[in-house]
This record gives sequence, C-alpha cells and structure tokens, in this order.
Amino acid sequence: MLYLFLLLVVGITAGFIGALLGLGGGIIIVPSLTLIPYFHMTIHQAIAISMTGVLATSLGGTSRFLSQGLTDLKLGTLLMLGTTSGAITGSLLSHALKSNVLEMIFPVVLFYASYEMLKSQFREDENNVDHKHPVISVVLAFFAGVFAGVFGVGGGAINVSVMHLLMNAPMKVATATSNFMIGPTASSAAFVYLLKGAINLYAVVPVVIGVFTGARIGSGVLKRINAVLLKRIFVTVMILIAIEMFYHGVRGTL
Amino acid sequence: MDNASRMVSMVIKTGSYTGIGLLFIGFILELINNFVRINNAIQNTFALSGIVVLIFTPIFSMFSIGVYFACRRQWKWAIASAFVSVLIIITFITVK
Repeated sequence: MLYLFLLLVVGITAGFIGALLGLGGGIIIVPSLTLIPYFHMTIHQAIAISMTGVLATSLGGTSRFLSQGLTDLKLGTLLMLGTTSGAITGSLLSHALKSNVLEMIFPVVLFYASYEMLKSQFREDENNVDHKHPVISVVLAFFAGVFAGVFGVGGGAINVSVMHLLMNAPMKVATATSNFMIGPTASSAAFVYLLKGAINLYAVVPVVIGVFTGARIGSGVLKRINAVLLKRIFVTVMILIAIEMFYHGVRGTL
Repeated sequence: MDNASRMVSMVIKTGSYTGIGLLFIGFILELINNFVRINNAIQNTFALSGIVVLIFTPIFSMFSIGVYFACRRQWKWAIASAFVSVLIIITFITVK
C-alpha cells in the first residue's frame, strides 16, 4: 500500500514540474525510481515507466493549455517535422553514434541556451509568435529529435529554447507547445517498451495516474505564475540536466 | 480558443480520460487486492488497455489537426501534419 502511495507521489511531482516547464518529467521519475532503494527498480524498468509518464504529462497538460489558448498548434506542427524525423534518424543511428561524445556536446548547447535565455528580453505581454527562422528552427528541432532517438528523452529543453529564442515565442507559449510536442515522441517510445514487455504494470499505474494529476495541476498554475520566475526555474533545471549529462558523458569515456 | 484547438482538445480529453479511467479501475482493484484476493489478470487487462489508449491518443490528435487544416483548405499545414503523422507511425516501427 505504501509502495503504491509513494509511486503516486513521485508521479504527481514529476507531472507538476514537467507540465510547468514543458520537459516531460522523466528527469524526476528515472532518478527517483532508481536511486530510492525502496522501489527495487533497474534503470531500464524506470525508463520504461518514465516514458509512459512523459506521455501522461503531455496529455494532462496539453488539453488544459489548449483551453487556455497557450498552445500554438502551427508552431508545434512545424517543429515536429524536425523532431519526429530526428527521432527516427537518432534511433537508426543509435548504435553507430558514440553516445558519450554526444553527452558531452549536448550540455554545451544547454549551457549556451541557458545563457541566451537569461540575457533575452522578457516579452510576455505579446502572444503572437513570429514564425521567423523556420528552417533553422526545424533543423535545430531535428537535432533535438536525434538526441531523443539516441537517449530516449523528449528533447523538451531544446524545443523550448528554440521556440523562445529563435521564434520569439513567449515562455508560457513555448512550454505549452513543447508539452504538446513531447506526446507523440513519448508515445512511440512507450509503444516499443510495451511491445518488449518492459513496462511493469504494477508500478506504472500509480505513476501515470499521479503524473496526469500533477500535470493538470501544473498546467493550471502555469497561467498564473510569473514569467520571469518560470524562466529562472527553467534555466536552473536546464543547467542541472547539463551538469548531470556532462558527468555521465565524462564517466563513460574514463 | 480557436476551432483547431477545440477539436484537438476534445480528442485529447476523450483519449486521456478514457485511458486514465481504465488505469484508475486497475489501481482501485490493486488496492482492493490488499484486502481481498483478486485475479491479477483482471487488473493487468485494465492497466494494459489504459496504456494502449494513452499511447494512441497523440497520434489521433495529429490526425485531427491534419483533417481540420484540410477542411479549412490550409493545405500547407494539412500536408505538414499528415507528414508528421506518417513520421510518427514510422517511428513506431523503427525505434528500437
């Protein structure tokens, strides 16, 4: 009983943060399930559950963001041309690419994006997205997709940065649209894990219910939260992901 | 909220509430299982069908965007969303 309750709490936390930042929530689920010994889970089981959780974050957040008019469907569709084709390329290349080299390059991109985000002007009063630099944005989204295909993550950090920095999308629109975009990527990954029988049905149920609930709460909070605060939280989380990934990459090469 | 958002929102709400509803029944059965023994196959069926519904919901939402833009004769966006839908299906097949 306590086991189910704790999984529910992990799910609610992941869904809340994931929906708020447009990241999916995998960065909360995987470490929680693997580092807390009480859960007795391997990294593969945790990733499989996390992918189903990311899917629930996207679904729970997107329906509310659409009602609030925060999701830009055209922008999402445009960038998904890049992310989905990148995800296919990444999954095909995953055996050929040296993943630890990518793990050291990717944090540099995240650090640069964090720096640019802190430097950029706050323009949350405007809700219109200039569809500027569509080709560069799709190319960058492609690389986010390649990364997602290689590592099995949603690529939300790059998508939000591209939308905010290159396409001048307000931070809230960028996170809401990213939330919509991570759904299809996560659904294909979850489908593969399901076919392989890697999803632990006993553990996945409370996590998904929790994530969905957390995402509904997080998407409700996003409309009211201060955009400057949101941007600072996003940059902090991005830097933490970059440090963790760089450490992982360096450890892999040693 | 524009009509495209309304349509996609409806598809996502239908899919996600159905999926979460099925998972919730599985969860309740799991809780009851702590007190009264229930066949695990029943809970697993609910959990599995809930996950399958959740997995296919984003695909249907992309289809609905494509259909919406096609009905509005916004061919550029209709083709883009159809292309994304096809790519997602290819991802289903190729992702290992």
